[in-house]
Amino acid sequence: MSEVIGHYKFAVDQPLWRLWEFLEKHSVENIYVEDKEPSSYSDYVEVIIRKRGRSIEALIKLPKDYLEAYYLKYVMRFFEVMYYDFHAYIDDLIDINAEDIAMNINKLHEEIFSTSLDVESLRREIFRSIKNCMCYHPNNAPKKTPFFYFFDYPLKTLYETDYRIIRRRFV
Amino acid sequence: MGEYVRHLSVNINQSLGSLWYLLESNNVDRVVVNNMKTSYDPYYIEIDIYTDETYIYGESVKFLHAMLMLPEHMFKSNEFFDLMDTFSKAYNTLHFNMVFEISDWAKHLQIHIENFEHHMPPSKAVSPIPIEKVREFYTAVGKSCIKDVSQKILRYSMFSLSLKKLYEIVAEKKKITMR
Repeated sequence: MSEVIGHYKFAVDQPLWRLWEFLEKHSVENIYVEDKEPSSYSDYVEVIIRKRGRSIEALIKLPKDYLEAYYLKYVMRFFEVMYYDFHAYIDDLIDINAEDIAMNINKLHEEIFSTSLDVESLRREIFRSIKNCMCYHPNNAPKKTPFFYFFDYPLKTLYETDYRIIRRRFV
Repeated sequence: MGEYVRHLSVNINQSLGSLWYLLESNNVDRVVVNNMKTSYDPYYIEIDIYTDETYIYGESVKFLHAMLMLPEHMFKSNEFFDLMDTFSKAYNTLHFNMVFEISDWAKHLQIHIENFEHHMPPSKAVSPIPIEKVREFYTAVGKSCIKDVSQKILRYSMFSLSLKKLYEIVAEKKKITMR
């Protein structure tokens, strides 16, 4: 069961990295780009934020015409996968490491003081710290990486690029 | 073990935290306490640093490896040896494991990037991104994470105790009062 906790309009003339940032600001961990039902607006992407159990996910609806653009659809599929990798996938990796680090630090503490540390709080602190550096640090934001060059473009431009390619081929 | 890089030493009056910091500032990824050899000087822990290499998905990942040699009296104490061994495990989980996780993650990303570029229209096609570049970028990100986490960990009072004091606590069972 999921509960809708927010419904937003995101203008298509904003760069894609702003959408990423917007999702992060809403603590979204996983996203789904709707590939059948279009947005009710022609100049906006609709972002529906839902809570499913303990995790927060977002459903992204593209304008009708955008849904038919092959290149843009592919970019958005990639965006979806990369967002997941940066959040849910990294969460698991960091969580395992944070637990190991906390346990070793506690063992060291026990050997010296014969008393236990609060491993759970230590783990949470390490987890938050690594996650913060990996995902949210301004220098590490995806827009800074050399691999996501299309993140600088607004969805509108990506759509129009696709449209021009199609027109050049078929007109 | 690869090539010898450099030699460091830490006076036993220095803190456990300063040993951690010294290793970190020399970009050491993995620490091992030598169980065969002791240091020459009874007042110093000696450290030999070597290059090392491991393979992830068949690709080479290079890292720095430090071998700690304890003074003989510390070496002979099982309790102190265990303590230093736990210290190395805590250090390695944060540093060495991170190297693996980053490489694993970088490979994961590279697969997505390659898949994506494979499906790009010809006019948009760009040359494939070498895994080494992806890994380099995320290693730099990972290093900044490690520094941040280290700063938090090193706040624990045990890291401010000197190696000599720690030896006295665990090997000679001298009780200390916790504040």
